[in-house]
Amino acid sequence: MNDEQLQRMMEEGRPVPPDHEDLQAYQVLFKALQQSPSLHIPNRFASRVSMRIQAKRERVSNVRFYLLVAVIILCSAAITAVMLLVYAPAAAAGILSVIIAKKWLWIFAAGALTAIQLADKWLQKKTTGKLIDEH
Amino acid sequence: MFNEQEDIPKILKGDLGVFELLVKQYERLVYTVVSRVLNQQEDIEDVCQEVFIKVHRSLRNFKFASKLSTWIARIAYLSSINYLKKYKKFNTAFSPDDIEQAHFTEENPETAASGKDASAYINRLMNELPEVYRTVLTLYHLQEFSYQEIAAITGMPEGTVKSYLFRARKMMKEKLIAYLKKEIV
Repeated sequence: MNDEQLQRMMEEGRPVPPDHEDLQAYQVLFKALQQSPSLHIPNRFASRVSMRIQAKRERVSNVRFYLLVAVIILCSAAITAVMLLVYAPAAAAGILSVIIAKKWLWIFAAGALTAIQLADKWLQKKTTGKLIDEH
Repeated sequence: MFNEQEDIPKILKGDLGVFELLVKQYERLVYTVVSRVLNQQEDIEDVCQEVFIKVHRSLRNFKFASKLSTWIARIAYLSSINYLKKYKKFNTAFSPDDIEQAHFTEENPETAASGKDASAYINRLMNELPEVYRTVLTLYHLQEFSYQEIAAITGMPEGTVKSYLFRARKMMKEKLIAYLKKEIV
């Protein structure tokens, strides 16, 4: 019998003749392959996974909230600008000139705020991951 | 006990408690598959967590076309292979078609002492096999997946799965006979 036939015999669980060297070896091999290796599954592994999913959900929800706030602020600013242009064009021109004169200050402030928020998110993500792993 | 038909809709509605049941049910399967591909305990744990996060994210796409265990094992296998590729630990030194090219540690007093019985020796051989062979052997013998299911998990054709299984077992049998003969002498 060739190896293919011997392996099929083993898979089908047919009785192994005691004097067949190859079959004896296959028997030992199949038995060893069916033994479960030692796995180091941490305690509360399932809780850790669900905590990570929960943390991610919260991050997504926070980002949505900040985006909503940004959209509301931009819309409010746009509505105010239109109202000023319609009802008080002189005041609108004055405000616009102040905004243009200090444009770098506004750009810097917006950039700094965004950077602080991003850094905060990054730190939060890192700390949460560590805390979950320690937990 | 996790019931696929009843519990998956609950998870999709956001029930994390039920998802924990799923994790508990399949954590051994995922750990077995991942630890057959990766060696470092830290890497294994990270990848296993990632696997379940992916399972949670993609559960909506599970259409009950296969067993849930097959679907999860596929995610575990692909995540482990991607991890190896990402961190350049993937063994590209030889083609999986040429198992004879695989390097096996020669028997010396130290390894002989560590492998006191045939089972330990087989485990050592197994750890030195290429990733695809280890995975196919584990899925077939330990997790009792069928050839078709292993093909679905690994993305290999069924014929390749059979061929890898056959060649790995034949090679291990030959090494085992040589080892047992040495033991007797």
